[in-house]
Amino acid sequence: MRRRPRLPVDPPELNLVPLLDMVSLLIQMLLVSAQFGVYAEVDAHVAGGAAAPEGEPLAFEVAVTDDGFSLSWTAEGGRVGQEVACAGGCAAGGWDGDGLLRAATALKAKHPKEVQVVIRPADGVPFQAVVTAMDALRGDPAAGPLFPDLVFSP
Amino acid sequence: MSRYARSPRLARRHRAEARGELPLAAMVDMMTNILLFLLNLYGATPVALESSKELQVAQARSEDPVRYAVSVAVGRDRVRIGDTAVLMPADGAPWTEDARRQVGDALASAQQRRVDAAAQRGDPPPVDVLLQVDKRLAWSQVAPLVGLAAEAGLTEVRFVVAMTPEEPPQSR
Repeated sequence: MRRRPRLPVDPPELNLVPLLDMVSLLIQMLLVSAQFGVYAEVDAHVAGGAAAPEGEPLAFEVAVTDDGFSLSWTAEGGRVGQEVACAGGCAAGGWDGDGLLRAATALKAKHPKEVQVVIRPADGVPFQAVVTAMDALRGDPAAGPLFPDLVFSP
Repeated sequence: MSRYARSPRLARRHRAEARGELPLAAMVDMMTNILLFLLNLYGATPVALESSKELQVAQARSEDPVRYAVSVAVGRDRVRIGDTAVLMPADGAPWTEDARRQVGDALASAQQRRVDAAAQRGDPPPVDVLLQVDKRLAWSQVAPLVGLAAEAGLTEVRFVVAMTPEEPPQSR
């Protein structure tokens, strides 16, 4: 018996145009709401809440002022102070986070069990200066925490 | 006799050129990759973070991921809590009682919803608030918000920052 020759059949082609339409719309929607920055968070407590200053022996405080950072802590029965001036002037936004990090690291070496610091920002300082202080006091993520328990005093 | 009778390959090519078909497969590949990238980006943070000329978050070396909480966006012109927007006082001006009341009510309302949801799950009431603050604002404009949040029971304040892992913590 003679077989009929097979008819040539082209492979079916997918209609990709609707798919492209849908993907284009999705991309537009996602682009509108996309966040390209890489964000993180810095946590703190408000004094008077559940995590009020604990009255630790060190009683470490950092004031963020128009002149830089002003550190104070208790040592040998009295208060000790240290100033970290702005690098290049505070008006130019030069609050010295590295200097504060060095001072906090030295203090942490003497008091390794202390974890709390009270931050007292002055009214006129920009928020970036406050974050610079918080960032330095928490410590370098690669080197380990310094004073991660940040408390804001109203 | 046709011009392509002896070469089926040339004939197929000629037919495709004659129909004017675009090679869509490559475009679909590319768009699928873009879509996957954007979908991955979309799910990177659990809250919608604002970024605009009026709200530039401070920079820090923190690597702590942003967690969900009552979110307050504090720009130079307005404070936004959910659907509520309150105009910021002008530079140096104190917060008006009306603005404080609006912010306090919005915070209390958002917190109440979270407390109710936590109670249904049997969890303790949350006490955290996520603040996205413009880095140029003076602390005197931010401190009242921190105080209002504390009055609403939100005593754990988490500030959103832009990660700068390679740079020292200098303020700008």
